[in-house]
Amino acid sequence: MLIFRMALRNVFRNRRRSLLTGLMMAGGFVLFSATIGISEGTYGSLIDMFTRSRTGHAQVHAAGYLERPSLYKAIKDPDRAGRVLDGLPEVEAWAPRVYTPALAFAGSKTVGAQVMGIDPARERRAMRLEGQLAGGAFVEDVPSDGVVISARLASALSIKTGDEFSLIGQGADGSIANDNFRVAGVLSASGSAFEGPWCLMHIDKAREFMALGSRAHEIALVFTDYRKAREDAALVSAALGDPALDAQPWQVTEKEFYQAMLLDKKGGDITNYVIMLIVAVGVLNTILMAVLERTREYGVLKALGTRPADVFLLIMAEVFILALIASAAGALGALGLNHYLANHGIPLPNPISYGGVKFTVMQSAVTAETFSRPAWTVLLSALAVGIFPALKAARITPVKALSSR
Amino acid sequence: MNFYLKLAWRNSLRNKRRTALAALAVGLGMAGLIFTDAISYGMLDGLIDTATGTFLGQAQVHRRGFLDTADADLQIAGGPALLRQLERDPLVSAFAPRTLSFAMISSPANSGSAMLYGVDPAAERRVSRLARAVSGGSFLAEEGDYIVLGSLLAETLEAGLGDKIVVTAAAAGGGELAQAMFRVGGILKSGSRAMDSNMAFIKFAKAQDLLNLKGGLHEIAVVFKDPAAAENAALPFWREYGSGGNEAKGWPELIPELAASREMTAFGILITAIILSGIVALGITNTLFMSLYERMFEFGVLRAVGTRPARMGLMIVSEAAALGAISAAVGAALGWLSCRLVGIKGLDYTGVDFAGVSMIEPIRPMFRPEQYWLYPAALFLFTLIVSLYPAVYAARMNPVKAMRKSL
Amino acid sequence: MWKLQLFLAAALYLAPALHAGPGQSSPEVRALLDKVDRLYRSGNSYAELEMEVATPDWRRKLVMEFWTEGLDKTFIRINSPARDAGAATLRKGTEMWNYFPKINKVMKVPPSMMMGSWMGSDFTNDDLVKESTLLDDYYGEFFSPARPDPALRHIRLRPRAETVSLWGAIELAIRKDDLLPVREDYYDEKGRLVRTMEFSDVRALGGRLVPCTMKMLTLSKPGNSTVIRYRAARFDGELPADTFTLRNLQRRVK
Repeated sequence: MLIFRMALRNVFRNRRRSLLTGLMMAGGFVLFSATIGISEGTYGSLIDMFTRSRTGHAQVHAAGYLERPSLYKAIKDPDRAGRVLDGLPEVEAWAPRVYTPALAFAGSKTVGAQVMGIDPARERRAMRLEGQLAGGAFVEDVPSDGVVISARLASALSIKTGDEFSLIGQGADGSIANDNFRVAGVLSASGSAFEGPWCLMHIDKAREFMALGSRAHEIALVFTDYRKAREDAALVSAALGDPALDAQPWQVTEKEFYQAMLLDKKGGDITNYVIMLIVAVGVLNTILMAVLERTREYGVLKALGTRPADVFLLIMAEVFILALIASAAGALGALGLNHYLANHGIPLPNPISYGGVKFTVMQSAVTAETFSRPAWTVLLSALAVGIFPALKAARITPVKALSSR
Repeated sequence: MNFYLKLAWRNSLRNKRRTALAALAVGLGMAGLIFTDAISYGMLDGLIDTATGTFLGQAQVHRRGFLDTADADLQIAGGPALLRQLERDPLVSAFAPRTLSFAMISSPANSGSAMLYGVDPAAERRVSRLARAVSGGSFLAEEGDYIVLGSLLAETLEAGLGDKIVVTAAAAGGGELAQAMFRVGGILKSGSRAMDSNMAFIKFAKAQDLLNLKGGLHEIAVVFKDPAAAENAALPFWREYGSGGNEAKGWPELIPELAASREMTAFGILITAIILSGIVALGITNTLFMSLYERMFEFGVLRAVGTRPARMGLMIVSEAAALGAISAAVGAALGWLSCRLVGIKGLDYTGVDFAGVSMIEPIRPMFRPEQYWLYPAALFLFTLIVSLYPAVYAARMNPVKAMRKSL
Repeated sequence: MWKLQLFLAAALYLAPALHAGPGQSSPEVRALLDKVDRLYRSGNSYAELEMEVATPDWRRKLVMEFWTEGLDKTFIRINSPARDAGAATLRKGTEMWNYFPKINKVMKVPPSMMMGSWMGSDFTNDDLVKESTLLDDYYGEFFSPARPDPALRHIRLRPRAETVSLWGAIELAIRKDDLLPVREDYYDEKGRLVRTMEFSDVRALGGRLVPCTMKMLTLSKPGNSTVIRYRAARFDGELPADTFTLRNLQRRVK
């Protein structure tokens, strides 16, 4: 106990040195924390924006649909699934969809198209589809012949808002699906997640077109916390309790996007390790200097009869206390910085388009990791670094120490 | 000036341990930046190389509008002439002519639609690495009418090496359907789902024949001598080959996701640099102040003796400069070493898919000149700037107070 | 793809005359195939037929009318079921048009869609327009199966070297008395039976004795089958002058 009190007093005795050393550690803490925060925050917002532009945090399909999509592999009772989903607190919103390929023709042009039937009211709660509209109006809340087409389809058919065109496809009952439609709106060319020849219409109109009855091909899910997408998807699977249905998180349904991100993240991880190393070395530098320069002092202690073990403990205790205080200060600073960056972000010089979503800021995030990792780094490296000079000081002969500078 | 430099140098050497530690810490910071930069660009480079080198090429030439409909009639205007021009073009390292069309591939068991490419294996070898992904058989190396199928497509067709395949495609000049028989000469396992289920390859000359192209072609894939050329929008190349109804596009236009990655990388490094400089600044300030407080008495004496405040400041700054120079040298050496060491084996990313292609080769740190002149120069400058605070502190010191203080 | 070709060849004759290769088929075979071939030859034709398609996901029965002239003109109108009634297809040469009464539009089938399915059926648009060169491109020889049926003769057809064909062999079983086909078996090169067509219900049709029901089974797709039944036919009769016109597509009949 005496040692601890001595250590505490030593720390505050030499305010300037402690301040400098502590500042280094706190500074390293904050910067490292900011790095982690920005990394998490950026990926987080990337994932969130991407998944809410079309695909959702997870999707429910009939088993086997994801590997080989087919008109006939449909969810037989989407309403029942919807009721189950409504009862889950983790599910913030859900939206049913139907899909089928079709032939679109207008005038003399014929082009392959992808039809998607949506429930506009539900989509409004779950996704950010309407924001991708470049002109015209979105799909109405009631079934009608007004459809929204992607820029690619509009240019392939040379049609614009207000024009009419026809769709021909295969009905689920074997008949030929055919009907006329009116372009209600056109999606943005670059700012939209719908890059192919998409044609969006009300789900009931689409069901009628493809003779699908009340079935659906997909239910897109949005969770309250997208970070738990995997667990929540498993939860949904269990809650639905139907072996014919599959619930998969975005990491599976958007495998390519996920892997691209993983690649990016791995690179970021390397940067993190580098920064961690540098923070550790910075701590090493200051602690080492601080301890080594008090060799004389420790010589006096030993001359007075202090046991080597106690000298060791004294030094370690000082280092630990300093590191703890520095970490606390760093944590406060980091909290403030990350919080600010989480809300305001760092504006990007050029907006970057990724998966049809435009990014203008790099945001930070306040997560447990932004505190735990820097804390561990600073504390552990301080302690590790302290061992060497502590040992040296413990073993020093008073004569040598007293004669040094 | 000389006097102060000498003084600074000697002062730094007075406490070798401290100087060494400081130089190590700060140098490590810069080494970290060098390494991060090298790895980030190495990764980007690897990505770009994989994406463009597997099949796409660094740039492509098409007839305008071709990619929307794959209409056989939309052949490259003046195709054969462009090929000759490419042959002579000093920017171009290699190019491959191709035909491209929708086709129905049929086997006795089943039929499926695919993108049918007519390729020249010899030219392809210098442009794409697809031939390496052929498992079983060869990439159209043998004489005769062979076809290479993506593995998933072959599965759907229940076709194996040597089996009969009938290809049906809409020919140019009227849209008549042309049919021809092939034998499976190879199965393609690229690892990309899209490629393996949608692609089929036949010989270029045979494709021209089948589609009634009369010597025309649909696509030219180009590889430049300098890969950076593909990103240079100002090159006359794009106008030269992108006129008369054609369009020439580099990979940034063909794969926008990659271009986005590039920008993110540059920005990410900037952020990292800022953070590292924060740590470096702390380290330098810490060291300088430690050294300052230790020599308070000395400084007090200097002032008492008549040294002007400006000169005091200058002394600190010169010491910082010395520290900065040493750190930069240490950092460059450490950076270089770390890049070399990691570069021996590289970082393994096999199996990860990006933009439809699998990474097959490990990532190696990439050398860039900026790493060894920009970063050290920036560090040196930064050190000088950071030293201003302790320098001002030293200049404003009260001699009497200073001499009374001791650590 | 080849299924309908054989259907059409058998029932409506779109194929040019058969000639076996020199020295490849025996005179007897040639004569036999020639007779079969001429059985269905006509300058023009009209037929009413039903097509029943079964897949694992749905069953459908289409009732349609079928007009042909020469080798390159075809007109088809669907009369049942109600959802598809009035839909029509016209083919002239290599061009093809579809009409759907619900949208009241005539759509020209682009070349890339020629490989798509016709009216949702198992057949491709291409099947409808291709001239069958089956008999042209194969040479045949008689053979005896393991358990020969005394009433039948068997011919094995193999593709010629230059023929574009997926099949290793096609085996025909023909009735000795009236030379009508009973079944056709399609084998791939490895000798596996991939597809079978059965002919039955021999009756008078338009003044000729022909099998009126054809059933096609693909062994690699169990659960899929297509059956064509002829209700009536007229050969070399008078066809309305505007049969093969775009105007005719849009005409709402019955």
